[in-house]
Amino acid sequence: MRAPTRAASRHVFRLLAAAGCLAAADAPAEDAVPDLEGFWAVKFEREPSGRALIDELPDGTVLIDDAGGGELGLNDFGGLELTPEALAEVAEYDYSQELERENTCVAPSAAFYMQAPFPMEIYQGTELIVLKMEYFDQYRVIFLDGRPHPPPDAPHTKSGHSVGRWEGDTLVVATTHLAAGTFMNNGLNHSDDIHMVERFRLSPDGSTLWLTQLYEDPAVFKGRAARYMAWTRVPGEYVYPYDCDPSYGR
Amino acid sequence: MHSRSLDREARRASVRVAAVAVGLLCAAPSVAHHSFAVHFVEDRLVTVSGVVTEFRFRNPHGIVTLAADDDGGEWRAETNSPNILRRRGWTPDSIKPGDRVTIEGYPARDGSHSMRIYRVIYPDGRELISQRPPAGVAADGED
Repeated sequence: MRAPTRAASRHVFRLLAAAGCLAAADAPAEDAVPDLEGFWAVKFEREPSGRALIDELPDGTVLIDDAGGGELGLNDFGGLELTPEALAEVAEYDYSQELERENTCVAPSAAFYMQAPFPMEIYQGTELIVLKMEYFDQYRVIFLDGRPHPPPDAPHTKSGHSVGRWEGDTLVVATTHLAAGTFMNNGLNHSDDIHMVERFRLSPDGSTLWLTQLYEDPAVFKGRAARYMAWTRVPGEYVYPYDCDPSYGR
Repeated sequence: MHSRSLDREARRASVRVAAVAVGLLCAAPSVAHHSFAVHFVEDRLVTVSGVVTEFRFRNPHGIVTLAADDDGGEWRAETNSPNILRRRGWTPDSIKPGDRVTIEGYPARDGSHSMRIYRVIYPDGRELISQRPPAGVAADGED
């Protein structure tokens, strides 16, 4: 692993500080950070148990209500004001192509796959955290070593490039370099330039993991959007292989 | 809610790349992952009885191919994700070719002989639940 530089550390600090992600208090000692490691199954809630995390979203944020098993219908964008370009793209979107064999196993990005109704495993270290997602067999690496994001022209991927930092009991993660893909499952896609800030927090008893994802993507929608998710810790369980089979397509 | 905002630096960068992003938006591959709501009617069920000719239990969705009793026509009935169904007790052998079944499901919006399965009912009354129940039927809280 590349050694973090002071400049890199300053970059991440500035990023997170300006995002309102750093508390006045010092970060806890490494042995005091919450333990996120384990298997997490999606928690289907009638009312969000992690309401406090939702309340910490910036004023004016549009909360997209489609996480877990939910979906928005045609031309329902959850209250987001789309740009003319995005509206035009949705209007021209051909839904039938989704069922073609070559497209069946095209995975969405972390701006969508985190909210799918599938479990994940978390492996937690002091310099990085790995998320093993069941949905489409995706992986995420969250660097905690202070490195910066790569240059803008670096490759964009389904999981993007994530840097994180503990803010008290909350893991704050900034992600860039997400490849354009599904944003709302109804023809609305995000662009290559979506910027995502996530806040992971455990419930006081450690049994529930809460997450908010905050998005900015000026090419697609105005202002900010967010999703809220929750998982239940289930000891002794494992993520299954997804092994998407394109023969589902026609 | 508080007034926290994404960092100025990132915002300035977003503005700088906005024009480029518009171009990328138009040029980028734009195949969304397929949606239930877009492809299936969620407030209506169809019921088809017949004999199973094939069952594939692989992601993203299992497929039951059914020779319908009424006209012998072929129906394609897809299940929820097999990973979700495995945790509810389904296996690749839950349904076998030759099984006589009745399938209730949400019809495809395109009018084709295809559906998303709500449940598979066997002549002895045994049921396999695949998808969330229709509105008005008690849900188990999962997709």
